[in-house]
Amino acid sequence: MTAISSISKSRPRVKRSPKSVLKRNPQLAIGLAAVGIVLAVAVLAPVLAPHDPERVVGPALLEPSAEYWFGTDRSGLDVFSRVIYAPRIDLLLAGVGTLLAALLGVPLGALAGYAPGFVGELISRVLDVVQAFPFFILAMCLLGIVGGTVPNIIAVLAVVNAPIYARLMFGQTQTLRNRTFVDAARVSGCRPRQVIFAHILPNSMAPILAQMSVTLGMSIILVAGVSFVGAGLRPPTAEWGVMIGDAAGGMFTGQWWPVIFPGVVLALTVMSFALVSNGITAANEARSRRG
Amino acid sequence: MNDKRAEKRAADSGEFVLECRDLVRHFPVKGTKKVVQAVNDVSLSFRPGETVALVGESGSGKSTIGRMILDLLKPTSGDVLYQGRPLAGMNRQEYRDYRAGVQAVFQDPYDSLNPTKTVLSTVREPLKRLGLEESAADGLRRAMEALETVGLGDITRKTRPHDLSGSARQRVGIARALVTRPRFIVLDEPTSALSPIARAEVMKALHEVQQATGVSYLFITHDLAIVESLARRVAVMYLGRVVEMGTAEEVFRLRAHPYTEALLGSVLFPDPERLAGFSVLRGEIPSPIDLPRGCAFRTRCPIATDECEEGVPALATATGTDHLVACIERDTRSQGLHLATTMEGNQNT
Amino acid sequence: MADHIVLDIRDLRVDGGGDRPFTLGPIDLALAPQEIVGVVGDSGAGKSLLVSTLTHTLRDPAAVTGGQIVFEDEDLLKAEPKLLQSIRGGRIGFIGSNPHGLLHPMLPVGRQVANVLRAHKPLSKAEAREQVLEMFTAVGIPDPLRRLDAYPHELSGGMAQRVVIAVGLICDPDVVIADEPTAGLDVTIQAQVLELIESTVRSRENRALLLATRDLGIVARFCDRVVILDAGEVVEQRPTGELFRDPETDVSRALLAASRGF
Repeated sequence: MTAISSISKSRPRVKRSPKSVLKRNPQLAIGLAAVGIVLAVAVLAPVLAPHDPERVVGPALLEPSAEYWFGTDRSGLDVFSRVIYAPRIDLLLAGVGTLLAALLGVPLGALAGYAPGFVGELISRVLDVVQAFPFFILAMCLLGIVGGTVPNIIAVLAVVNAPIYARLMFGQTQTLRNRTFVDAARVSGCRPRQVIFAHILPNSMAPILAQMSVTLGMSIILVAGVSFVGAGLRPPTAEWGVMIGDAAGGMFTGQWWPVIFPGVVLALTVMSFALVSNGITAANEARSRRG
Repeated sequence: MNDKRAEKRAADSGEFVLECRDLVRHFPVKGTKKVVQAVNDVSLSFRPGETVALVGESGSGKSTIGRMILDLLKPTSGDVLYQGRPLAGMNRQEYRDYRAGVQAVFQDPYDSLNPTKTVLSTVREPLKRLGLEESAADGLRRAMEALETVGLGDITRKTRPHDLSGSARQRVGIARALVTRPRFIVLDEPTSALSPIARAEVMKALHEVQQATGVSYLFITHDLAIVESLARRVAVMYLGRVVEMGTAEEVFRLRAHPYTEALLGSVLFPDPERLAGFSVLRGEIPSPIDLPRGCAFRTRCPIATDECEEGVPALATATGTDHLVACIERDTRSQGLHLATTMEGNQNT
Repeated sequence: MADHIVLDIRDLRVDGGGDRPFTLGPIDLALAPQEIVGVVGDSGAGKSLLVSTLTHTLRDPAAVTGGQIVFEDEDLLKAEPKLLQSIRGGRIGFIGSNPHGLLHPMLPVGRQVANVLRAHKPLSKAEAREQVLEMFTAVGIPDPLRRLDAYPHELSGGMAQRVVIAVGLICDPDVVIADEPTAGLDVTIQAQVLELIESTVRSRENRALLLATRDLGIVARFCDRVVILDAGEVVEQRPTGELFRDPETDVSRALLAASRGF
């Protein structure tokens, strides 16, 4: 048997350099880099911003210049500094909201998917009801009721997004519970909770993370959106939606800069989260193809 | 009180490690009142150290029996007994003993290992979950020992399933089944997903483990070509029932049930000289939802008569020994009537 | 008769492409009329690469690096795409395993087989359907008329595999390439399916079958000649009986031993 025994020997693990990751998964690489930049800007805002974002620094509605790179808005605040400060509040709200949504939805979905019969059915129906409302309108209504404070916005983000995670996890659990390694785990003595946390959850992390990246982007839009229509944060908070909403009227009279600059940065930020999400999905597919 | 003690003694004396008594499993068909009769009235018993093969076509219910033995599926009726105690009535400690004592190796080595866990932690898991390790270090050491017994001593703490070949993965599965020093292992088609050489390696590992530990195997397989050399006893299943059971030698030589005859006649042995008796069973296995009345095999049986429609034939001794056959024609059959020729002429009854 | 060859593989070399270097060949293999040749090897020996090369379904980055596949004085590796189209699936039929992966899930199986037939022969829909019905009957599909309009998921594994066989045989090919045609089927069905393929191949004078499998039981029963592959190379090529009596190489000894238990 010596002639062929090498077949059964361990396969060497393939090492990948950062360069090849960029080549194999450019979406993930570029997306992560862009998200990294946004995060760095948020953290370093006090150092990077030339002015205080919430204090009047000069005349209103100055065009972009060497002194005020993105110009000033109608209250005389520096648009560039405000654009730089905005991700602090936007990422905080979106980040905490998304995390809570996942922490709420994932266990619910796992329970619905793993619990037999009645419990699963009940959770599914409740989710159907919540998801029947359009995401944005639901959020706006809820904020209209409770008021657009920071904790309320986070809570609303968590509530409107949680069903997405519950449904995702429900599907994952239904698929994974039929995999042989789950049977093997049960034979190894795992109780249902241990099966879910030690076996089903780790194998669901890729789609959950990909979804979290999408939710982050969507939540930023949501925060900006509700602030834009006046149901969320209020001026003079340095937040992209607030800035756009505050300056939107100026678009018609030629003062484009207080709208366009936060708008473009907002769009780029949401796009980089979408890239990260696609990248995670692609990486996971590549991994499962390698087996 | 006395009864209990007697029961305990019987269990300790270890005549049977594990028993299935009148196992029945029906699955409801969604949207109808019909049921799939996956397993009907199956009783099996296993002695220490022996290998029993459970053979039959797909849909015969053999894997369902394995799942019931492993408590992955509850029987509709009937009992699984471990060391004389029924699973249903076990207290917590007894159930833990059963979990440690009855393990499994599954069919697909690409699906039976959690891809996100290291091989070592997969093998250690039963010790951890069943509270059988003194410490994490102790658990890992014993997991490593189990891996060494199946020839995987070169596995490291970081090895993950995708670093391994099919044969190596399946041996990891064996190591996981061994680590609790079980008395009984269900082998559910453990080699059917493997290449020929890998299959031989895995069978060798299983054989060595049995020699060293005296564990009993239930070997569920449709690969009849390797059953003969491997199992002491064989049970042949057809549509949820055992139709013939005996020592491998008896079953392979006597082929007392016409289904056994047909099944063995279809086996392609890797030997050009061994073609005699090659016969082709006509027709497909009937649906387990609408089982034929009477003997389920009669729709494909070359010797079926009107009588076969009247009742399900019971397993009864054919040759005065442990050799059991469920066929009302068995008396004539056991006198050595050979059917290979009639099989060919009789198509699609 | 002896010098007539249906398919002639000469000095074929294929580069496997993947992460780990793998080369197949050189392979020299001639299929004589009515001959059934088994290609055997452990996993990773190169069987599937050989089958993909012969059926022209090699996927990037795998590529043929040399040699010829001669069919009726034409080197298929250099043939015009149009000629190749007419030969592949027509004069050279393919029977794969995994029927549910090979069949289109959204088309009735009868239509799928008819489409293959009409791609190669100028037939009306009705004529094609008629021939497919005959083929379904020939491959032992019970109630063939009703099964023509069935979708793949409505068929059992054994039934779907028969449809795949019908696809491979519908154009009355000269060469049949079969890759594990009975993988995943029960022994009783396996025997039926193989007998069917065998009788079809032997039913016409100028037809040959190349049967890739890892099951030496199948080889012992059905093949006239065996090619043993190991790590991409032909290590043994002999009549079946001889090989089983007296394996010459370690590889074939190991494969034989493995197939007989342990």
